[in-house]
Amino acid sequence: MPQDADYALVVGINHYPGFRNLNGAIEDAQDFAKWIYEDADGGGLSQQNCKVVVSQPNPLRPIQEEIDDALSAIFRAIGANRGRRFYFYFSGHGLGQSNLGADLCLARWSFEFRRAALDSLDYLKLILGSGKFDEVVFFLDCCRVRQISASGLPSTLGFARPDDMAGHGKQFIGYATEFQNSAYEAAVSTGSDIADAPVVRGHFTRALMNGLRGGAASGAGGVPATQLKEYLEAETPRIAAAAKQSQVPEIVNGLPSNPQAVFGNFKPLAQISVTITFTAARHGPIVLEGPDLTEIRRGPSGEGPWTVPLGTGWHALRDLGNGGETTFRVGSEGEVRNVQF
Amino acid sequence: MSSSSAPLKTTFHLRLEGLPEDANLTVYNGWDKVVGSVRGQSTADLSFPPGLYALRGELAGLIRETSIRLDRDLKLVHSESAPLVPEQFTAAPIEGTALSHEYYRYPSSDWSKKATRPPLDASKPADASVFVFIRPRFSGDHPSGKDLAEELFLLNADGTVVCSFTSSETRSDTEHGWLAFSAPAPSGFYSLEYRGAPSRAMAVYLFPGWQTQIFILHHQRPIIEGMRIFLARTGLGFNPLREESTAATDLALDFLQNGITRVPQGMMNQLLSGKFENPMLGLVGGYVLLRQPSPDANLLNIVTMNLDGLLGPGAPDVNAIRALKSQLLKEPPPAFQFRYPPMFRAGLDGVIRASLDHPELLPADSVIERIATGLFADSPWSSWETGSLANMNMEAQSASLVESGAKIALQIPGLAASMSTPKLDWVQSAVLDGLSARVRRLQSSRSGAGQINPQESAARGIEPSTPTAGVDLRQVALRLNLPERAVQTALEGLSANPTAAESYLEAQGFPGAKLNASLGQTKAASTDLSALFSFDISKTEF
Repeated sequence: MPQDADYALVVGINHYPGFRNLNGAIEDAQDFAKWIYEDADGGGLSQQNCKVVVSQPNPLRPIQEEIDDALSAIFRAIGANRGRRFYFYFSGHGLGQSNLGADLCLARWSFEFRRAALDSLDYLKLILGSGKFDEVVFFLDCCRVRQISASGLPSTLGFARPDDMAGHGKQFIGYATEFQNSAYEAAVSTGSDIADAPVVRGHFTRALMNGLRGGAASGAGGVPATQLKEYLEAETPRIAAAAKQSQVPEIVNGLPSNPQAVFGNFKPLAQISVTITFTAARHGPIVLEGPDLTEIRRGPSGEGPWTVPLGTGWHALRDLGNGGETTFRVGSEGEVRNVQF
Repeated sequence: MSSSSAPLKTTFHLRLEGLPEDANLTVYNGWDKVVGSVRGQSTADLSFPPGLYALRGELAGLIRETSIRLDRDLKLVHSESAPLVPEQFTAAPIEGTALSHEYYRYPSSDWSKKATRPPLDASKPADASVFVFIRPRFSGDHPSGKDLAEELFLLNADGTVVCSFTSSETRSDTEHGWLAFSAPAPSGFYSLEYRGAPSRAMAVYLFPGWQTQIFILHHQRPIIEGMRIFLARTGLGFNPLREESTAATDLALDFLQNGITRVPQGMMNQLLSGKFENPMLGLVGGYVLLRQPSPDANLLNIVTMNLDGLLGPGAPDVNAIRALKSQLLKEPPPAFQFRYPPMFRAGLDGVIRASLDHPELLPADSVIERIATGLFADSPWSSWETGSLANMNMEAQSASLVESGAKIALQIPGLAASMSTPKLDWVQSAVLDGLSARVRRLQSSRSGAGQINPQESAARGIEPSTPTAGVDLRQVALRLNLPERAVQTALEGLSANPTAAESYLEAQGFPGAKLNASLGQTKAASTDLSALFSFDISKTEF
């Protein structure tokens, strides 16, 4: 569904030569941008309404001016009109000075240039203060650890006087992690060729994109803000735990609930084909149950692997012959495709 | 004749028992929707429709997920063998924690009651004692023959190495891989330094009549940032049994480290009773209480008075708690001078902030000013790059290096090189960053070219001149969370190194910037940094 009055600024920074490079931030940003203007059921923005800034090593960028220029271009494009929703997505290193906001490290950040970061709170105030948007949505996939004297910089943009509509905008802020904690990235798969580098993604953005692409969708299509919050809170720690890391996002949902603010138009995920094989320990008969214990299939264990289309959520396999039982969860990434029981 | 059957139950009872009161437990249904939660209760009774559920237990930032099938009334009891919430990981081998093992509990308890070497400093009365126990996560987790205390040193307040944990000073066990050090010592400030990579020093206090017990996990190096410190009456030793006060203190340290603002229930119970005997419980409790949205001033008063009684009136952490409380309640700060940093990072931050309004809190020779630019933020303890204190005590360090022999022949990598090639430190860079940002703003609102002095320009009204428009030392110190004198020292460094400062500004796009000669002679409180430089913007490219 086209959303001509929506705008987005998407930033991904992998290159931190003075600190520690990241591997998945650009990929994450590009994936979010893809949802914004390319996915048929995504954000519905036109490409010109979405500014994407990704890092480059030589010359090292982005610098703050580049991000402020992109923001300025968006304000100019809106001109005297009003937009509906503004998305700001950032993936890179980050810091936190308080439980409000995060400081978003620019490519130049190092322990020496420890203030080469953007103060997300100041940018949020700027965008809300512009009075140009009904809804402002921030997704910040970065750490919020405290680093002494590393407070971020305010935007160089400003308005001569507050807009009449300043302060009326509602906000949704998705922090990848709680204040004073880290956000992580991890390899999600190896490349298609042995020489390929592994594909690395941030845990939070993985959960975000899975949710926006149907994992958190309602039956009517689209992802209600309340369901996205719930989904991110459930799924991000789970993805992190699978990588033996701990990460709990903080989601601040100030968007209206009536009518419900909705992201995109993705439908709930289709069923995923799961193959279940049985070990010699099975006696049978075997019962496969869904999340509400509805029986999905029953049969002897000797009949060979079952290939069953299953929706997301928890499922149970029970061996009625010997009382054996196991549960497994079909996730929104379809990561469970084979189950041995 | 008619037949009847019992109606199908539409909900089942789920009873949860034995939950740690400080854990959170969230119940998700089979479609990952939150359907229930348990907070601060050891027992909970819940009811749900038949189905598959996931119980997500959270403790101090860690999670554990357990799936259950609810097709009848069900009782689940949290236990070590069937945990519903994550296990607690701690360097102290306390019974019931994840990395506790008998082969660490017994020797740590034994050696905390015996000395492994004579008193640390024979010239002063050994009115306190120190115990250090280093061990891997489990037996076999470290290469055999590895010195667990390699590159680890204990320094006294003068910066002199008083212990380098050599084999003659310690006891160790190669089978299970632990190292114990225990000795009487004079009370006061010490620093525990790891001089490997990454180097780091931690503040440690010894109190009269108390043994300071330090537990460190070793994984490729001593993880000193995650160390646990307990206090026990001299002679009592370490008690590895899971007492409420020890467990609550340990958990509260995780809360402090992970930014969790709740007070562990066991700790709150003892704090409220006002008669706790465990000083560390009082110290951690005081800091955790200060993180509450509305700290209880009366309770904090009781805690600090009790701590005075236990530790004596001069404990920096107790006074740091008072300084933090005075900031919150707009009261006068404690009449105390912080020559040495408190053990807790929260206290150190609070003292630095308070010193901006009350510089008398930091005496001229305070260690805090010298370490403030090298602090780490990843530990609940005060810790800093060893180089920062080494710079202060170069002479004392050098002497101690010579005295201490081969083990510390190579200390502080890169220090000599860095001292011979002056570079801007991060404080100086931050000052210049702020200054160049200010000049950029002035430049963007001014047409024409020529000399520009940020201070003069502000006065001409190019930018509104307000009391905060200038960049004075206090503002810089406030923003950088540094003592004012640390910023002054950085400025004096700039004055001594104008070429580096001007090169830095040139790289920022100000090739004409010149450092004024008066820089090092400014008076801290009244200095407007913008007066210190003049910028030739005709040479400046924007």
